[in-house]
Amino acid sequence: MKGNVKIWCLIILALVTVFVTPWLGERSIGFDVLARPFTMGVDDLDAVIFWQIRVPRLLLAFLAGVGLSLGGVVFQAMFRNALATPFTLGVAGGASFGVALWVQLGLSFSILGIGGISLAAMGGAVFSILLLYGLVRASGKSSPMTMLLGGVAISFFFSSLIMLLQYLMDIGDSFRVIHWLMGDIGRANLDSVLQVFPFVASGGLIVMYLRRELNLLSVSDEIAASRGVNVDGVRVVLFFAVSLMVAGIITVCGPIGFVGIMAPHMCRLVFGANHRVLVPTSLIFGGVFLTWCDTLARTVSVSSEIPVGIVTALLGGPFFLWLLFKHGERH
Amino acid sequence: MKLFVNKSLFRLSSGGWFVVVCVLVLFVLSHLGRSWVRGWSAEQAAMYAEKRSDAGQFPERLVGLSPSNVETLFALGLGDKVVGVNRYTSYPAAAADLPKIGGMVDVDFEQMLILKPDYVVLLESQRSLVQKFEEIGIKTLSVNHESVEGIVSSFSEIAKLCGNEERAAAICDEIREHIERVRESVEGRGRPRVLICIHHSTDVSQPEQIIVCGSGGYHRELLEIAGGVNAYDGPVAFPKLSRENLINLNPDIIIDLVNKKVVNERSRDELKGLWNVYGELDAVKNRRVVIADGAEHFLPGPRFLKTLDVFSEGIHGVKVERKSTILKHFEEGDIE
Amino acid sequence: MGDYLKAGSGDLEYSILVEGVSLSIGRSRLLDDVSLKVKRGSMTAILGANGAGKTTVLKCLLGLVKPSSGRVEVNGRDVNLYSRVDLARELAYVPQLLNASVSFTVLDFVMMGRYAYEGGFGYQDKEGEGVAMDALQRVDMSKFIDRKLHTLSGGERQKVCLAAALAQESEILILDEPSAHLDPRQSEEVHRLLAGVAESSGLTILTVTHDLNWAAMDYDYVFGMKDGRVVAEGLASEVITCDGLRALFGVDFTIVPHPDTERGMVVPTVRNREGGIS
Repeated sequence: MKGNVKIWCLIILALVTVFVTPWLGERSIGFDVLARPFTMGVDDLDAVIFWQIRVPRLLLAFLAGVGLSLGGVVFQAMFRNALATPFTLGVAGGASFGVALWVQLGLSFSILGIGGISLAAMGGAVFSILLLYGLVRASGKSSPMTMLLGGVAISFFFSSLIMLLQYLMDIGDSFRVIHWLMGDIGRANLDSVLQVFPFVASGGLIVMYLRRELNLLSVSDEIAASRGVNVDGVRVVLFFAVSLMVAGIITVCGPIGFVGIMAPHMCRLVFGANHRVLVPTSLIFGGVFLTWCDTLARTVSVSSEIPVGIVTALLGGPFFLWLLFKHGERH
Repeated sequence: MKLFVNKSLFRLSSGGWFVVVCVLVLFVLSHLGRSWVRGWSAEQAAMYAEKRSDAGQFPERLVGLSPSNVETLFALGLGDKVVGVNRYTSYPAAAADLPKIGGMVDVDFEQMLILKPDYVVLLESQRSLVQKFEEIGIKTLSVNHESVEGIVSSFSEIAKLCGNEERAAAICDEIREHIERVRESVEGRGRPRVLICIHHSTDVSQPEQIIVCGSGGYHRELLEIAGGVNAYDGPVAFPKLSRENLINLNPDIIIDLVNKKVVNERSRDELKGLWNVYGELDAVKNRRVVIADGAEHFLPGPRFLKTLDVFSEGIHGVKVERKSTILKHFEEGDIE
Repeated sequence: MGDYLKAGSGDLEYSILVEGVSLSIGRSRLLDDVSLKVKRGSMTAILGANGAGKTTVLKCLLGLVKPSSGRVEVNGRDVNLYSRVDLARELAYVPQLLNASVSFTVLDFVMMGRYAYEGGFGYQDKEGEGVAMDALQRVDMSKFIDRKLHTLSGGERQKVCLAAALAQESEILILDEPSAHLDPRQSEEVHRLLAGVAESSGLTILTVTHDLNWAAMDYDYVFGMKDGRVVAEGLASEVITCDGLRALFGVDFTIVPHPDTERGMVVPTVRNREGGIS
């Protein structure tokens, strides 16, 4: 019963977030805009600000938070390491490189309605996962240190490749990449929300479906296999789900760090380690968390806004260190 | 070692198939949703365009999204119509006090809507922002400030929009005429190899982290008008050079653009003196290092002729008199 | 899905059949022509020095490692022909002492043993919970269902692992050094429970162990492994002898009869001052 109360609290928190944050901002907006979605024309300034700036932004931030948080949950279970996320292990770096390369090459095509830029991000993410996984396998012991150091190396590798590309870019593309590298939710619109949505929703669905497998994988591969989990197959599917989510988010929002560490860990403290509960709660809490970070980012300064990636990094950096020390004590 | 045999990777349970189908449906639905949204946006954009043609009058409220655009607007005499400027705008003084709406790549769209501009003037390199502006019903005009021709035509493009083409024509003529006179004055002279340094660290005893003009920007063109050639001829837009690169390039002249006003002759000499460390370079040996200070040398706006004058004087010692016209007044801070 | 597989296994004599299994990784030969048969409903132990290949045999049984040659059958069917889920219904596994950082609650962890019987999306049926509670009852841990695993002692953790394996409702139980890292009391508890389970449910139990006395006391049949080969097999009383242990471990032990059961117990041999055997 106590657990149920906590879950209801989380749901209420999510609802409050969704219904309150669009009203926060420099300009105060009346509730009457709710009746005027899809207003045409700049005459109704409140409606345009509400429906075309704040609401898409809320949705995009929420979606990105959901995906990043789930990515963290999956990586932490699969690598059995509280500090593992697609960002700390360099997967986001790979996806970012995919995007930067795409911008540099100036290509443009799409397959089945999925933009080539998302596919490039996906390719980068998959490549870096293969690299990381190969590294973990080759080193035999998947000790937390080996893995984190490997992830750091992969991140550095890709970020220098991005810098190299940027060096060769013309100013316009370079601007675009800089802006996007800072974590860019500001340009959200309905189109970009819909662009991210299938990636995060499919990834989320897959992770929700594989919660029991995550539970077992978080204990050990051997136990998971002996209980009936097709470990290799599940791992491939989960890697695919994470690449999907990370690629979708990175293509539109750029790399936003630390959400994947903070949200799942807080949920683990409150709801326990069982992924049956942990997955849905981190999903919701990740969205709530990033939405508030973005609200803070856009309201904290007057004439312009700070990129949301800076807010999450400012909160997440100290948290990461705290976790690292706490983690270090136990082993 | 081959771990985990028993591969039945793609043998899916009914739940697995359900997930696969859901994923496919999600992507198809979002694709349909996106095309609907795009259709709606296009409709909206068409409506805005119609409104624009209906209006038939010149915009009253303008935003300059880069410092050079703000200067261009003010030089065109549109200063009183500017309602918002780029965060880095510092000239003219009247512009620096206006509401700031963002930097080069980050824009506060809400603030932008509140200012209700009729038009936002931005650089082509800021093109990634255009889509969002159009969606929220703000019209944009992109100008190219990466070439001399682009700068010149930006005056007429903006003027065409704002209905003061006469003044723009006068400015364009002034620029073209001056460029022509500079070109004539250096004709027949040699074409020394010049390195234009746009950034180096000044807090150490020698210029380090040197970034020079490469294939990008308008400085290269100005250099050719002023009778020099770029010592760096590689493909990188703004390359960073090491000491070894410098020795290989061995420019005849170094023009060091400094982003702030140099207060007195002594500090100018100090800046010049920094280069003495690189005594192996011909430019240093022959005392051909030129310090050009001021933010205007980095702004491809109406004050770019000043940069051209610095170049021609630095390279060939030619000082082409400016006719005292609109831009000259603007440079002196004298805006009607 | 696994029912049709189980159907034919009703009257098999041997639950586990390993025939001529060899496994080499690189240059090292981990298993060399290993054959062992485990009788249905028996308690069988595998003894041997560290690195003798005991755990590798278990991995072959679990289908985690594919042997280079030879055949591994579980309930009359080649291990590699099972799907993971089907194999899990035949065979449950209790690993060496569980990592202390696993922070599931006891009930959650035991429920994870029901994986092979559940649907997707984390679906759990009430029946499964009954089975899990029952399993906890059998290991005497039903008071601990809400405790976190990492707050339990080693022995309690091992009992929970045993319950999780029982919840798997398979016919065969495989244990890898169930009493490693446990103190004497905890070790006694685990072995007592195991013997009780074997007696009451008729499970086939195959255990890798270093605990010679428990092997001598509770187990019916013993295999001795050395350097990847099976060097001794037979009833516990046949293998756990002075000569048998010398062959396996290269050390001399003294065997004395247990005061109650007359089974041979292993005690260290007294050495004289010069280090020779008295």
